[in-house]
Amino acid sequence: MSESNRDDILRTLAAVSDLPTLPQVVTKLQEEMASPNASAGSISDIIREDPAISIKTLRVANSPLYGLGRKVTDIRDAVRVLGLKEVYNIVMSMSTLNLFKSDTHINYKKFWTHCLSVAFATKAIFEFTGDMERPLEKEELADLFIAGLLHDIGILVLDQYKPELYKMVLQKVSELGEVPLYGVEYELLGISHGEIGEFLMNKWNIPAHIATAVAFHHRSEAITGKRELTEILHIADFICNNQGLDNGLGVLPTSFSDEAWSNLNLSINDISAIIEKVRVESENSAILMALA
Amino acid sequence: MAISKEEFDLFRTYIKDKSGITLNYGKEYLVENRLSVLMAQNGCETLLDFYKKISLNNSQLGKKVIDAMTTNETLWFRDATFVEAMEDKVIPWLIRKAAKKTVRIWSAASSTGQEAYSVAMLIDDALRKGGAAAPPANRFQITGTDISPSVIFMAVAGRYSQLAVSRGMRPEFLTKYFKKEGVVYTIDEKLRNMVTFKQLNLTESFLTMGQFDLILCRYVLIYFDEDLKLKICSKFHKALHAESLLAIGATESIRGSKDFTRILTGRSTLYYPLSKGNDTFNGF
Repeated sequence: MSESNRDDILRTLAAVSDLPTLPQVVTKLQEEMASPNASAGSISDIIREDPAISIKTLRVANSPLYGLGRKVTDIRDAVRVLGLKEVYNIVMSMSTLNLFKSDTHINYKKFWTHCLSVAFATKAIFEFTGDMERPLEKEELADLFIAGLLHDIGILVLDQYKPELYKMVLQKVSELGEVPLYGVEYELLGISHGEIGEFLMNKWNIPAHIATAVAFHHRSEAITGKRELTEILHIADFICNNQGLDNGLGVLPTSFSDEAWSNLNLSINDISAIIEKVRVESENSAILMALA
Repeated sequence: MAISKEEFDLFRTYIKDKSGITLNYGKEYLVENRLSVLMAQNGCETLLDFYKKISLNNSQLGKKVIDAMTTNETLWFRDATFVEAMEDKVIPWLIRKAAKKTVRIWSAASSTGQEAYSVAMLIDDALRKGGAAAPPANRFQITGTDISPSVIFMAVAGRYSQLAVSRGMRPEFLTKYFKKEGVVYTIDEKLRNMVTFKQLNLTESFLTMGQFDLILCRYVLIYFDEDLKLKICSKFHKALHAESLLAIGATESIRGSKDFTRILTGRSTLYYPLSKGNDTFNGF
């Protein structure tokens, strides 16, 4: 049953014409950032074309999130002070938090707070990593935020476009307790929310390594090659869930991948400090939620 | 994926052989669900393929299967007879020791912390009952060790689901030692301070562990072959003080070891280390 469901789900999604799309400002930003000529000026010009996003971006830049100590008054200034990627992350957050807002049994506030918490938690986890076989580049650290923000977006897609099937999944999860959501998804749907997230992210032209991290965030061991980004996402997701910063679907994970922990060279002695840091960092999600 | 009776029996026998734990009929769905996750992770299409993979001496994967399918067996206060012996004999003996020195207890293969915290609860409860005459709680050091960072994380975090605290927990202890936060039960700070968790592989050296008054290694040795079991026993022997005890699981045996002698009668599984001075245990 699940194999045919998988094919059916992918066929349905491929044919859906109203899949949520990113606002034009984001797609233009993506194109510009991929170009070798991208500059603070060109990026600022694109953001300014969308007044609503511009205002929100300035509010975030001036929020306690960055504690800049002086007021940033225009987008160009924000780009200069915070950097291109950071501003892109703000624009992306402000854009996606408002997608999928129809009323279902998913608590959107809790859901997105979880996603943002994970996005901020990735930074906390990274600070505790030791020497890695394949260290992350500085650029990839900013990508971790987007991976965290979008890691569960497949849940919203499944819930919106396969509501009956997904209701069955959520029911089974709540009946059984202590079973991983993605396990029930594989069993009933033949595909997990991670892979559905990847499908959407491909449509959105999000870089492949970020989409891969989302696709594999529950099974990083299955990645051959560089998987540190996915592993940080996996551990950040676990810790947020463990600390009650969960997505509201009633799934409490009971374990993370030991291989991921060891590969990131995280230390058992740091567990309490990591938890504390994750809790502090994730408080930032409230700032973005309030400004979105 | 629907599991057939034959397939269920295959895994049921495997778990029984490897862990001594019997999965009841009626649990098929749970088995099916948990296995489907591991199958997906390991690229197996059918249950039979997966069974072949674990039975081909893939002990790491085998351990994962057992862990996944026996989560329900991670109990608080496991084995009523043992807990009774702890409360009536072992803890009063340890409290007497604590009047003179720091008492060290080791929960080996501590998993998500239930055993270590259960002992901490029993000790704290006994100390409260002992009133002013009782030694302070900081005279007791409990160390939990496990090979898996994931379970150590869960133990250190000390946050348990409703389902997890329902397994063997005494209602009065749940009220006394846990704080309910939403759907999660968080263990009391005082107990957390009594317990430290470390990463350790039982097949490696115990030299960094120091000496103990009580080692609990229950339902663990069953995973190892006879030779390795005896080696581990010999290392436990070295890590024990002269007047000390080793506790193993009710279905386990270390009869092959010359380092220990069984004490008490009946279903007790407490062992006393030999050749460390006095070969007769006079603690109780």
